[in-house]
Amino acid sequence: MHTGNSFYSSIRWAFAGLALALTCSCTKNFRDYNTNPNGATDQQLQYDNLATGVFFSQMEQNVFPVAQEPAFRDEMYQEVENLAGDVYSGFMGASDNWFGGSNNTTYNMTPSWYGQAFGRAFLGVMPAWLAIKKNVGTDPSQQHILALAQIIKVESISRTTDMYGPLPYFQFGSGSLTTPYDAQKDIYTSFFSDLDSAISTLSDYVTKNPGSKPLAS
Amino acid sequence: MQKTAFCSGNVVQSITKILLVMKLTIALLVVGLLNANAKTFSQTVTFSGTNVALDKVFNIIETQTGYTIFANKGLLHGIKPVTISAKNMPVKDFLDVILKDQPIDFVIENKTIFIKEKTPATVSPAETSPPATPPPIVITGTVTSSEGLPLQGATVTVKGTHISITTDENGHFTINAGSSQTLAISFVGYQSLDIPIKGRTTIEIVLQKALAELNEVVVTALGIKRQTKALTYNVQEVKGDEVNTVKDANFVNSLNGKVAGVTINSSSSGIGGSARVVMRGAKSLFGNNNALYVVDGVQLPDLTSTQPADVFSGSGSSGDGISNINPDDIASISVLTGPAAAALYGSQAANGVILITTKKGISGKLRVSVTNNTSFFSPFVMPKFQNKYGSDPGSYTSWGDSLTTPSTYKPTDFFQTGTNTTNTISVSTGTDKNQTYLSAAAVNATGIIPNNKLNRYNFSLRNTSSFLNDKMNLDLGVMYVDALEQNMLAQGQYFNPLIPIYLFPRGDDIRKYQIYERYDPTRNFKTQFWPFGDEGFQMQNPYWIVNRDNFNNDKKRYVLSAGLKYDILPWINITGRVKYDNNNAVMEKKFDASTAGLFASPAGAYYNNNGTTGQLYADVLVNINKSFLHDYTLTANIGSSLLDTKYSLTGYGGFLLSVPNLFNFVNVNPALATPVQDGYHDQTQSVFGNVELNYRNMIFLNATGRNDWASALVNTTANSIFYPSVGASGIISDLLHMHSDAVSFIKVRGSYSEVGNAPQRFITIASYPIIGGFPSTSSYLPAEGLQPERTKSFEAGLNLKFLRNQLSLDVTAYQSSTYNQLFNPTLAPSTGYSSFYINAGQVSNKGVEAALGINERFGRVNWNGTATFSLNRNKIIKLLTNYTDKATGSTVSVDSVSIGGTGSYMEALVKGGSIGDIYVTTLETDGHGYIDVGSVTQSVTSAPNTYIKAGNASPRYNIGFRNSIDYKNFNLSFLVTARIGGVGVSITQAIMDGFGVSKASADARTNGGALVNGYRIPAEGYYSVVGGGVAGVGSMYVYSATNVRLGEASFGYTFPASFFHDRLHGLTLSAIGRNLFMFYNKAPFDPESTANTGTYYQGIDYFMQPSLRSLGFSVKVQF
Repeated sequence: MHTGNSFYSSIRWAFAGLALALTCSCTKNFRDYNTNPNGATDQQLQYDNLATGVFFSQMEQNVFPVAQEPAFRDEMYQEVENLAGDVYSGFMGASDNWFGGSNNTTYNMTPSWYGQAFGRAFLGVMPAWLAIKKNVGTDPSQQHILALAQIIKVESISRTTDMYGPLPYFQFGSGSLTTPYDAQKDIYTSFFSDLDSAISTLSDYVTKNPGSKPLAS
Repeated sequence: MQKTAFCSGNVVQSITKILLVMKLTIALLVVGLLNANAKTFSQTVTFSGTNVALDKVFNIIETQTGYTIFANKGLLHGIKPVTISAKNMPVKDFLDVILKDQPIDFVIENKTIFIKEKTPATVSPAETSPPATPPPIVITGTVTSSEGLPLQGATVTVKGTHISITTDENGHFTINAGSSQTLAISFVGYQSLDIPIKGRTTIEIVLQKALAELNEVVVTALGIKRQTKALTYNVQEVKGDEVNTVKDANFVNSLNGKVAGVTINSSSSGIGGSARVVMRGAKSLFGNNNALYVVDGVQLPDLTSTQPADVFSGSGSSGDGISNINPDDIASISVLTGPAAAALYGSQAANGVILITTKKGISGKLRVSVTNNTSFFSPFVMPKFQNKYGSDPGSYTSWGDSLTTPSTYKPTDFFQTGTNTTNTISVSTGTDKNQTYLSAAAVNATGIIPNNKLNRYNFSLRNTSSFLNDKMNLDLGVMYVDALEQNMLAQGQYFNPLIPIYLFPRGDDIRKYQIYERYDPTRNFKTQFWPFGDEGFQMQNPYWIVNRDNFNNDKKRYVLSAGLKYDILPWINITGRVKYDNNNAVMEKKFDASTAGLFASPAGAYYNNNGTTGQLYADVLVNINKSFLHDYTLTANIGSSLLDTKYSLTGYGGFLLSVPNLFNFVNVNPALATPVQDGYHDQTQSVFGNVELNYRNMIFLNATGRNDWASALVNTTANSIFYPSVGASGIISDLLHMHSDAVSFIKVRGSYSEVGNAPQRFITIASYPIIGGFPSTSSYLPAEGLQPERTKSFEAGLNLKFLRNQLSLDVTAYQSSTYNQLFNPTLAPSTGYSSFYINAGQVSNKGVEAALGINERFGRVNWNGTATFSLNRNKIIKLLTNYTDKATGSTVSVDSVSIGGTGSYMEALVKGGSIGDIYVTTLETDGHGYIDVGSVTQSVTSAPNTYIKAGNASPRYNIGFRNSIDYKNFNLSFLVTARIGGVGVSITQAIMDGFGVSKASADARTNGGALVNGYRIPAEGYYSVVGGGVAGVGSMYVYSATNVRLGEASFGYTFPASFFHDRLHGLTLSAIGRNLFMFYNKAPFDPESTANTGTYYQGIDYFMQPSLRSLGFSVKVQF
């Protein structure tokens, strides 16, 4: 039976080796496999100053929302603009009696419609502004970028606060799941100070760097 | 006895009494005389004869000795005639002489001689392996059971050699052996037999049924065969024939009603559509709940297409991966409903496994089988239409005046008779060292909606061979499938011809629109003729939709597999397997110019997506089967596996720019084009082990463990998941030495198992989606500290066999709980994210699955029946409870999540509710809870933001009853399925009411109005609210989903081989049908049909294609 024993142990070692070989060989690639190849990583955003510049596109596309496939198409514009304002001002009329005739056009506000403008402001504009603000930080050479972002933000949020009144504005981006609301009066006042500081930063920048086009590239 | 006889008095009574006594006396006398006669019989036999048939000799013995000889007719068949000369030879000696060289023996008991098979006690080695063997002779024979039925697949082996073959459908076999050798015949369920050949060339063998089903073997996880006795979990076996008698293009639909614990819904996309298979209730809130399919021990990749989940999508559907398998290649199916049975397959098997074993070649002569199944389809359940009221000219609604002659328009005229012609051929041949199986199949089907087609071609080749004295076995296989799907429609508004057809204004004539395109002189080609517009439902000319808006899917799939098994020692072997499965699907959409503006530019639109899924599976297994200490047997399977899946999708498309109907990327408008590129690469490496300890084949203990290293676990709290399971089973009937005929087998089993599931890929590493060519902020908070999901389940079961195995009962009760689920709750936009990923959610399922089997003979009629029962109660124990927000320290709870729907219907997950809960919108009610009828408007008002719970889409009980009745060569089988409980919402009925084309709306008009709160209000006003808009008011259209139907039936006749003078082995002709008749159904649609084979969007009918009734015939020829 002595041959049996060595056979036993050789089987055991073979299996262990096999297991080890299979398992430890390729787990080093797992990080690559679990990274979405269809999007950009943090590292890639460092190239070409994308981390600051690219989010302007997102902000601009969400002030008057345009189709952003695959997330949404033209229906977003209809819900934010046409069905929230244009039908009351006479620019547009209803083409259907949605929800059995109970919808915005008959003054029974549909939650999934009237919430879209809020979504665009806080999912489209504000996170992009926050990303730009974080990337610029206190870097003096990039404050003009932040100033431009502030202008677009004010343009968008001024419309949002007209629609909804108080907004969770100042403490946006604290990382919390709930954000306290701020009074509309305070938000309006902050617009003026934001715009004032943006004007002064940009005037300063233009004087010091005539002819430069920071957003062109 | 006549009452009158009794009533007529004492005299008659005494006369009858005397007569009775007389009768008895005479009888006794006769018997006595007979006995007396017997005494004159001798105990010796005097007879001489040459080549006398044995039965004649037996008659002589009976006459001369008075003994009675009992011999089974089968035993005497083919016995050589005898030559004997005997004078006053004692009976026993006489029998010895005449039966000396015969394969039969005798036993004398009292006055009866029993003739039986001769079973030689031992065969000396010299006899079985003689050095000077006489030349082998060809022996043919038939193996039949003691009931006289031929046994197909019985194994006939030449004892002491490796020569072994199996019998064919008629029990025939042909084998080469020496005339002094012995044949060993065995068959599952029967007592094995050894028969010495003794120079015979034709041997008839009769096997006696084994009382207890001792060695039933079933295929379990990893393709390992186990005795049913040994299993500690529930396994249900379905023979390959069950899915081939009444063929369905997707064989999974044929399993409906035949397996307990499984809810199968077929897709409403028609022939070749996917199937939703959920076992023991839905476990995962946001993951996949469909069962895992395993073919020959290796799992299939998940090849499902995106399922419709709103009112718009559903056109251009596609079948799933399992619908590609040719049902003719299936030898048997094992259904493992619980995760315990499948802890060896990894996390995907937590939902249960359907294990398919395909056919291999059989050694022996060439066997060819050719089949043809032809079925004709028509719609099964349709809503009811009206033809009394017409429409105003130019209006699409039918609220016009009552027609003088009812309209002849019938929506069912739009449907054509669907056909499915399936032709298959399979060839099997081999020697005992090498066997080959080859099959080819063609499925050519057209659906009930014109221009809906499915053409699928399957080829498969399998070769099994053994080397090195059968110590090494090689198994190679190739499969190729080419499927072409055209215009498969499940439901929805877009490109759905059923909407304009059902709602067609009854005052108009459909024939005007059947010429769907007209020459347009300004454009110089034919454009769509449709004067109506989209009517809010994206309607187009229905004949234009089916002919000019085409969805074509071209799928090509190949599977290569190789397996090698080596027996190191008799009790240990090592196997290695590799399988590569590659599926490529090209999905094209071509919308001709003048298709509605939402879908195409004036030149048309074109989309082309190309997706490839490649899955590689490799494993190594060491299998040990060793007995020790005389009473114990240890079986162990230890192995390691690799599963690597790559998916890539590329596509481009958009509105065409200039040339109408030139469907090419170069013609697509680049400004409006949508490029698509997506993909992933998942890999899981695992180590697993399965150990079973068997004590005297009476008590079984089983333990498994598996450890997965999955790529989706990167950046979570663990980089591998370990999940174990334990189980035990005991054969009580053997332990207590029970030998009763009433209860012949009792087995008790129980098991506990855990299965882990890695979270979704990509969410743990931050990534910025590219929209319009620019990165944008992530819509979800990158997941941190995620744990793998876990399912813990416990099951206990009982297997009983009664009445000499004629009745069998299997009952399993289970309880499972899935927690740490990957939860994706929505966040308020104020956080800057629309959702986040967190471990939360706990879902529990508990239920019972039972199967009762009956196998009875009534004379020459054999009845085999199985009744299945499934009960499952699903409960959402909690969603997100008390999540502490790190930034503020406050706790957040989420107690309900909406899954969305059609607006008037939605599914929502609510703590304390179940998965599949349906919520519907209602009408405005007044202070007392009655529907509010406006006093001036005389109409109702919809309350689109108030949702009430309508019920749950899942059934409370599922019952199936399948029967197979055999009489001579006739076979009748039928299946009745019943689903009890659950609700469904029919928006189709709502919109039909809103447009005035339904019978209900016509009845309301005839009766003076719609009945609300006991009063009649104007019909049109009422229906334009409850059936208005895009989806009406859900609460008014909730139906009970309970239905009972004759699900399947077939009636066939098998011509025996003798009919064709043995040129054919058999010809079977059958009439087949599916979904034949509804015994009970209250819904205007088929509640078992679903548009979405995922977890949600169940119990909703939004202009689904009706389910199909099929009638046809099948021919099976075997050579």
